Amino acid sequence: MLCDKCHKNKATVHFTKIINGKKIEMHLCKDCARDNAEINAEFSMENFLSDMFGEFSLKEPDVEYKCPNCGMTYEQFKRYGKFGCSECIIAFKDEIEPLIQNIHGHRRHKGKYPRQHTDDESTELNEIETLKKELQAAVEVENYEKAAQLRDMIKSLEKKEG
Amino acid sequence: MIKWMDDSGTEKDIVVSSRIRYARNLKKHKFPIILDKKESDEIFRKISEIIESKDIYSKKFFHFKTSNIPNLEKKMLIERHIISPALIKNQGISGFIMSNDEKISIMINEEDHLRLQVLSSGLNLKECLKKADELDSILDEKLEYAYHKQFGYITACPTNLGTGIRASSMIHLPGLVMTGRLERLLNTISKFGISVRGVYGEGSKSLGNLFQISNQTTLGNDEKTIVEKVEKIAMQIVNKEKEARQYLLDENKIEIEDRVYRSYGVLTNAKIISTDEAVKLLSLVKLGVDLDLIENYNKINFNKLFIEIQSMNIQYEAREELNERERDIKRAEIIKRTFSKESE
Ligand SMILES: [Zn+2]
Ligand SMILES: [Zn+2]
Repeated sequence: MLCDKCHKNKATVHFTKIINGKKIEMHLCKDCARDNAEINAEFSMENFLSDMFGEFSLKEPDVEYKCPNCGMTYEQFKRYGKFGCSECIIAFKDEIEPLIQNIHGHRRHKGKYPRQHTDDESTELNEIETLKKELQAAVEVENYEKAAQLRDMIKSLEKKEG
Repeated sequence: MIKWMDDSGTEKDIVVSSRIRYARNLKKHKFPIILDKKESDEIFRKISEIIESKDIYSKKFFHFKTSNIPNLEKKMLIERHIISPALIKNQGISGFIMSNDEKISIMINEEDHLRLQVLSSGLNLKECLKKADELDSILDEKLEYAYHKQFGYITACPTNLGTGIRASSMIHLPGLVMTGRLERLLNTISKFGISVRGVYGEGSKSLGNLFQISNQTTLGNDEKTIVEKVEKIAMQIVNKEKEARQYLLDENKIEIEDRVYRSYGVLTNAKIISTDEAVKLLSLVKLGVDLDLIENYNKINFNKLFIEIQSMNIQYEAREELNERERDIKRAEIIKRTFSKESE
């Protein structure tokens, strides 16, 4: 795996951070990790075990995800930062969702949609309602870790909307 | 000559231009990053046929494969903000369609299959949005767009997901730069999800005091909300710029006049001048004209002149390749000619 920042050296420092239930992963080379102010700030303060925590781990990257339609792997997507086809996003959904939340501050599109999708009522659902449904489903299958993450996201969204 | 920059839009003293860009992809085709020549030709043909078969604002459209266009012309079109460097990088598979007035264009197989763009002079984002939206709907009748109910229009890069819209305005801010107020203003603006970059040069420094503001995110808010936000912030920046200019007139009139007239003196007498120097001086003379410190030049379209003096445009108009020295001489001639023509 290549470094997320310089895309040149091998990533040897793997950094995971969970903020309000959203997981942010960074894989850096030694040099970039040293230069990363965010990591240094995280670890120079005592917020280790609070809500906002980070940890270094040396685990090997997970099995390779691959888009069944175009053959692009998740590693390739990370390297180029671009999808190979319209189905990559579905193949990488679990990794992409936190990334999208991170970039846009939202998880659900609002606005125009193509002509073929006019009868799709789910586009009308707002973000919080969708999350609440997901929360209910997570509780039903006793996935409490996911439920906790979802609950935090709903809370922060509700706070934002006042 | 640079047809898209006419008299439309408001606040033209300060706002140079407005642009709406939509990113779109086709569901059943590989995205440009892994696209081959054959499939790219098919996409180009599909889009070309739709544009040909429709009456779009009664405009005439020209269709080009990027690789068929002479190098000089390609770079000239970048300087005119009609195509992007990324389109040329993809020239094995890319092409574009452009209206005869240059205001509407579609880049094909740039980063995405389609990049619809509507340009206007001045502040005119809502009108650009209306046109871009109509063009998009026309294409949507015949194409199958890549779309996901949660993520919106699927773009090649996650940063454009959702609406795929980028609303931007180019703004001339010499007053804020000279009063040292720009930095603080930009800090505030970035908190509202608006990004700012210099047009000529890097980062928050900009050679001709020209800056481009645009929305940072594309997913979670609808098109109208995004465009209204960019326009509202643009208006706030315009008002701050007006305040800064008034402050300069009240407190430092002699110093401003001095800088304006020195710039004017160099520009109208230079025999050989670089792009950087010309852009810098033009910005100050434009300020002088806007503030009525210099008379007789109200008819000069400075916004156009900024583009006309760029290297590729000079060569394009001269219909020949010129070396740097030759370009610098031509540039001085163009500027002198523009000023002497308009003062008559
Ligand atoms: Zn690195
Ligand atoms: Zn794919």
